[in-house]
Amino acid sequence: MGAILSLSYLWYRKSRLRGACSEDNGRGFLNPSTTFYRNDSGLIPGLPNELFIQILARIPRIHYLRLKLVSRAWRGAVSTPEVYRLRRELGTSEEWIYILTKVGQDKLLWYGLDPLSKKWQRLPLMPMVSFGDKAMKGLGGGLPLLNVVGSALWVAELLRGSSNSDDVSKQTGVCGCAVGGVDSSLYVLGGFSKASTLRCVWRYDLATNRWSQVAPMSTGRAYCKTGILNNKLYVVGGVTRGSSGLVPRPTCRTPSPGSLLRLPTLPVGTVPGQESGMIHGGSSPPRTPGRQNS
Amino acid sequence: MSSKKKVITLRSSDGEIFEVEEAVALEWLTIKPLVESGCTDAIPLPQVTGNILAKVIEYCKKHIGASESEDRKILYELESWDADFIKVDQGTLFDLIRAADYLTIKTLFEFTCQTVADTIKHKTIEEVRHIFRESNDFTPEEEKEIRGKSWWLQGL
Repeated sequence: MGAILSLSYLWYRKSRLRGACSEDNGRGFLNPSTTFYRNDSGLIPGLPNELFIQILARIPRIHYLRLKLVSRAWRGAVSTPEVYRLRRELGTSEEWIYILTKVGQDKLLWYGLDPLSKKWQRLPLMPMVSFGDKAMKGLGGGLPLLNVVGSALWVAELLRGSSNSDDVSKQTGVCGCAVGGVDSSLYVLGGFSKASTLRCVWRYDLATNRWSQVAPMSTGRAYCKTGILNNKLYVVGGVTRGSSGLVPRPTCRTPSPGSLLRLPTLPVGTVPGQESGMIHGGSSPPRTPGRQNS
Repeated sequence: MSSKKKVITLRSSDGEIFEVEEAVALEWLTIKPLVESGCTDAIPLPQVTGNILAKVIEYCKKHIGASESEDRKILYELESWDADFIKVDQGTLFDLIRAADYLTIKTLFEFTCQTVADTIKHKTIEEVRHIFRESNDFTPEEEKEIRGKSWWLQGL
């Protein structure tokens, strides 16, 4: 009977206790596939790692950066995607607001606001790597203020950059990049570099607190709009650089996460600044903000 | 619920025998199928010691029915009872988490995990290291780098 208790019902009780994970994979999200697991030796003496993760997922996210300082093992545990997956299942995900600012001539800086603790977190600087021959500096030409609230994202206000007209001529004035938040990540897509539109896509991972470059869009675009559908980030419209200057881009794509999928062309070309190309969200805040996937 | 209270017998890892009402045992999803199948033998629980099982039973008996109550007085009383119940040493607290996980007792699992989570969030890094016997294995450079990333602006 003991054997029955310890094996047969394992999947059953795990899936019942730990929420929404699929029944055929009751322990799936706790699979020891991540680097921090140290097999039998628990991270906390007397408690298996899978249970420690359960505890971590119940701690407000504002404490995570601090907990990363405890030790290497704790840093690994807090950075594992399982924690964020579990947070979603437990309903302990938090809604944060992210704002992009420009510092000095060419530094882009994101701040995250935790509305509960009323603390701002400064995200690591966005990497400024050259993209082909063109440096990405132009991306920072503007100062868009963006509210990212989970799957619902809207541009609250687009401010002109603090740079004066001389700088504008050097750096193309307005950033024109698009932003989207999906699956514990923040994506920054396209924008201008000097007179060119960029293909590159940057991803900020909440778990690791790092920026990384992911698969680029098939064409450079600026002023495109993003939306979330079925946990995928869609990019719609915007402008690209054609032989006769900037032209509307009527197609939409999914740059999330990693693979690109070409979608049918929209029947009507979108015009920069108009909302016709939006799949989800809009320029005005939705009444019920979505949940940040973190 | 039947008026005749059916009793389920449980045996801890160290051989202690406990009797619980069927209504309590049905909350433990791990043994629920056995209880429902009308098992009359003592159910062995090889991963739970007698003293922990006694605590678990104490908690579940107190909570059965009371958790769903809408009476504020009862809920308040339950809350203060919980606060006293959880005043245990760390080893016992972890044993309770493991037992709640093993027996699949959602309320107790949630309560014990949240208790540890609340403890952690109110402690400094040094206190967390001390409590969980972790040592700082970062190089000064690494620590500086992480601290550099952990940057806050207090307040709004």
